[in-house]
Amino acid sequence: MLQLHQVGYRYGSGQAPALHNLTLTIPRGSFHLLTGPSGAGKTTLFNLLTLATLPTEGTLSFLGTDVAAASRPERAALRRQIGVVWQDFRLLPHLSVRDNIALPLQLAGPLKASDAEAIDQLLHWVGLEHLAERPASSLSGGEQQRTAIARAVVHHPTLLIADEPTGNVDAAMARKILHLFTELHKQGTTILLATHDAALIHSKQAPVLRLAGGTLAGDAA
Amino acid sequence: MRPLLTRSPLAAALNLPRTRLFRTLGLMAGLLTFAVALLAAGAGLLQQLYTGWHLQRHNSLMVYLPPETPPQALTPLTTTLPTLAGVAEIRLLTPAELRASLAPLLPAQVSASALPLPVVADVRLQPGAAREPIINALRQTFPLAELDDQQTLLGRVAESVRLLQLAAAALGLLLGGLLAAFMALTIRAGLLAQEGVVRLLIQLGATDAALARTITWQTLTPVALGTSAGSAAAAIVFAAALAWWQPAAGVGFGPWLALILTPLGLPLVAALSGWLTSLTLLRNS
Repeated sequence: MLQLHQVGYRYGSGQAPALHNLTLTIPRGSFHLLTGPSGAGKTTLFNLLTLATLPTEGTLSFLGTDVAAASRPERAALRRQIGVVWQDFRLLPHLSVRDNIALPLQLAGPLKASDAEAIDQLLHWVGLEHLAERPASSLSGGEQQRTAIARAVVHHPTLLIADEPTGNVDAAMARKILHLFTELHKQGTTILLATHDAALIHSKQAPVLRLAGGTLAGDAA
Repeated sequence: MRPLLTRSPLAAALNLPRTRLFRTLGLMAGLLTFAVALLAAGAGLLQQLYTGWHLQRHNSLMVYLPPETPPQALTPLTTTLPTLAGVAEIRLLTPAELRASLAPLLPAQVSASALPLPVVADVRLQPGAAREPIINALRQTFPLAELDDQQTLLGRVAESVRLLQLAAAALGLLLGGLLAAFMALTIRAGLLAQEGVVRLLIQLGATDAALARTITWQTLTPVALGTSAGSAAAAIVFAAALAWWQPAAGVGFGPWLALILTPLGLPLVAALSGWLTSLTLLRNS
């Protein structure tokens, strides 16, 4: 599904590479955890995997398409196959919770009746149905995180990438979120979860990608 | 189940009109439209006045005879010459008309009535008449006459009118260019202010074309409002100016059409500028 071959990334021509010689395959239907200390290149890899940036060296393929060689409309279509949960949520503050969640569906095409129903179910699932019409700017950190998660999964992405998705929620909601991710994984969604949470890494029986010094340090179960 | 609030997610997400600079876009478009509309109406009016004046002058020949010309020498003006092919009418200017036309040209201490007045005949031609045979006949009949076929004046005035119209067109283009540049600046500032939103929408799968379309549409709304207000204000000012001036020949549809139609080019310029700027900025982002 996602293949990186000798991928490197530099922020400027004279600068040291943030990532180098990174070769990695994430098969369809897999569940991976990504971890690493600060400055290991996690954010850069996150940006590459979400197709926000292109590698400066090597090749990155998603769903069999070389992302760098793809046209901009093709890249937009590939991005619609990815659900992303950012650590800083990136909600649109002036839109309601419902509209924020609906955004990926609306960008993909006209809404169907079943879409509205799916959004209602998701709102119920993340416990935000009573806040559905409130602007995102009025939500607490945990509520924003749950909205961001709902937005990331509402269009049933092929690949779900989440950066610290349990960072701002209580233990019960964290378990609920992990349960949702497990359910989505069972339904065939490929999941990559970036986390510093040692307990989560130990509790989740999933391969761990450890980044150190801009390259992959090794896998650990 | 509640309906979704927003029909156009891109429009709601971007909401460029919230940016401060966008508020000045409508005002800018209004002022430019006002100027362009009045320029176009002025150029149209000039064309109409010139055409009327040109037709009048083009079909006229002035024959100047010395003051001492005996009355019997003028007989051909009423007998043979009016029968020439192409001659519509020959009229002798009255002494009062001559004095009135001479008065502005004389120093204050000189009275036109004290001067010997020439004999002046206004030979009116039929539209499309061949001038040469008529001029030859006039020269043969009146060898001492000064003939003014007004071609030099017509040429000079035509040149001046074209120059004025070219200047108006150039100024109009300059104002259109100013609007295009202001559009580009506004969009650049708007997108810079909402860089995070644009990045998010791109990340969620929005295409450049869809984003550019939304940006252009949102930018065109204040431009359209400004253009409408500017056109209306220009029409009022133009109508007031005509009411005050009251041109003798009257004003036809031409200047009004120019006033209404020319500003329509501004939203087109704005749309093109908006679309190209948006696409360029998105592709370079």
